Amino acid sequence: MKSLKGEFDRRGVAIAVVSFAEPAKLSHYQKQHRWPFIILADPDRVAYGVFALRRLSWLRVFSPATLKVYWRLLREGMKREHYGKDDIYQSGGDFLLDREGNLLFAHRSQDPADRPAAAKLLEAIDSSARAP
Amino acid sequence: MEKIGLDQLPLLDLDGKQVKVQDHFDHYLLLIFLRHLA
Repeated sequence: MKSLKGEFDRRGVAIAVVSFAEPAKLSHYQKQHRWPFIILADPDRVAYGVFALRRLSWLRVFSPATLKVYWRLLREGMKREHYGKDDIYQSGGDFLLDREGNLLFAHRSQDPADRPAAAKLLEAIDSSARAP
Repeated sequence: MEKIGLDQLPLLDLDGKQVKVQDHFDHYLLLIFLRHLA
């Protein structure tokens, strides 16, 4: 996603990452990782609820697809970092909105490995821009 | 088309202050909700 940020910029799309971690924890994380995105906190998970992001079942969290992704990341040298008590069952998602709040694209992850590819997001953005 | 009340999203910045989401974008906003950090 970071490498394609220019493609999103070019299309007039700002990217905001939302976490349910406390702002102080996020601030610490951001100092280390310096993500080139807007970082926002939703510690009470109200926004998660607004976007209908539910908690996943144990079977989905530890699905073969998820384990495969984590195995690949570990092989690539990703270090597990601890940022306090995480809720591994909370699902994530990706949503494209316009300024009026119209939801132009929605993807609610069905398991931790289920995220849309950046190319798919760009395609959805281009389709929205073409729509009358 | 589903509509979200952007004014009603209680999102906070890294200082813990409430943000007005619309102030952060001109045309489109991609909101990425994380599962957890790291």
